Amino acid sequence: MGELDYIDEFVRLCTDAASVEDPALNFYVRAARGRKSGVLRAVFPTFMKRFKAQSKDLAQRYRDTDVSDPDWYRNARELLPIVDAMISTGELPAWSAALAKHEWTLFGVGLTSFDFPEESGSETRLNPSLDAIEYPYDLPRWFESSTPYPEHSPVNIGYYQHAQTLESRWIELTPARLAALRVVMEGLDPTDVAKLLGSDEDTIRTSIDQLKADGLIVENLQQN
Amino acid sequence: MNSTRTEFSDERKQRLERLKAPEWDRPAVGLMLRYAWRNSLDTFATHDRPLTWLEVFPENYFRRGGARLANLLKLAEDFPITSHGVHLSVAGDALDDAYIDELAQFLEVIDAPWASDHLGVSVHKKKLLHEILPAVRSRESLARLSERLDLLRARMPCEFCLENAAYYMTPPGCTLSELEFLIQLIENDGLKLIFDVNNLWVNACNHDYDPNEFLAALPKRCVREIHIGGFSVDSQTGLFIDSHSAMPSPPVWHLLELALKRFGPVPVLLEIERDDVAPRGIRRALGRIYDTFEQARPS
Repeated sequence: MGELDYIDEFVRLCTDAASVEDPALNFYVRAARGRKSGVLRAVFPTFMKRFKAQSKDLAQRYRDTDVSDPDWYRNARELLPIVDAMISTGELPAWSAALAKHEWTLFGVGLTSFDFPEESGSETRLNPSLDAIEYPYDLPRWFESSTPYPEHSPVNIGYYQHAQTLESRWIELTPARLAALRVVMEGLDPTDVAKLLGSDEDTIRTSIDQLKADGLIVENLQQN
Repeated sequence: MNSTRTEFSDERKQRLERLKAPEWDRPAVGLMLRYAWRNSLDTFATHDRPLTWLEVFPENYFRRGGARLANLLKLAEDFPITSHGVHLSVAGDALDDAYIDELAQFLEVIDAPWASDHLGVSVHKKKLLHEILPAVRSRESLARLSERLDLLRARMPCEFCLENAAYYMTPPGCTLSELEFLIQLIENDGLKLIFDVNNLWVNACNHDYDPNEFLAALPKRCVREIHIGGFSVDSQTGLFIDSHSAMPSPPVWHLLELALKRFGPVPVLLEIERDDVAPRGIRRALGRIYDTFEQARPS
């Protein structure tokens, strides 16, 4: 289709950063670049702010990637291999991969419709949207601090849609919370689990109540 | 996508009647929805100057679950919602079957009275361009568009329209003017326009033609809906840009009046793509649309 050759030229100019002499084409190239950077800022807000010095390079490399998904936000996952590549060359610190993955996963959990108990009529259970990831860096403590980077200390984080608001959320999965989740998942008695884990039964019960309030343990809303 | 059919309120039914059959003393005035505004819509309108309907970019919703889609479906209980896409790429190298299927499903779910996209190219060789580049205005392109409009009519659950897009360059291979191209699509293919008066002004300034003559040459019954928004000027090139980053300017308001006089009391939608606009700013602009209906009304 020869008449669309000019689009090929536009795509070429967008990806090789050559100076564009035609003023109108120049505008289109700048506008497209700006939109792609805007997508990264929307999906990876903390990452792009924290690595502001590298943001130009990140955005340029992201612009150079092939679009694997026609959805402009879903395609933002292409930033993850770019971050890995920049870590391998020392352009980004190793912990930056954890932050990028955290922000992508939080965004990604909002992309699916889940079958919550209100619709299924099932009993109390684990929120079906939960996605748990173990990180080698303590992101939760870093978010609360003013330190320049997180400690190298493993942490589990759960991502989910709140069963009623459907808002995307994350929560640190502490040992007490993991025990509470196990009680619900396996239908166990909190007393038995407390004995098994050598932990406090009240702590587990409090965690269950808190996780219900946080929407990570969901109940059949019609029974309430 | 959650395909549960939305329960519509009586308010929505009344709004839909107004949207489908607007009159001079009962105009249909709508707003391009910013997600951040979803809980503020009451503050944008007044009792005697209501907000009739909302329009959305489908790409921000139709491959989503979670709160974003759920909140839109909640709004759809009370407001008719039309869809104004940016990724169809109707003048591009190929249409994307999967996109069309997903869009049609979304339109079913929100029960859209009509849907639209832009007369331009936004995807090429399966890659998103992140901009809408201009269609090549040729006989070959017209023939291709004619086939695609037929296909879209067959696969969409509602009427499908195209917007006169802003364009900042004339692509190589154009043998027809913008006006000739549009008239061919309207007269030969029954195209209904989403007629953007801001784009008319921007294109007239950038390509040096008379917007009044352009408007007067369009067939009277070709417009489904009018869009009005604001433009900015690109500091590097001096081009007028359809940015929706500002309120409509005086010449654009004047073109809205002329368009209403020409096309009758068709629905008019405000497009502002900024989250930081104060509610009173939106209310004033919507009120001014109502005022413009008054000015355009035949005496």
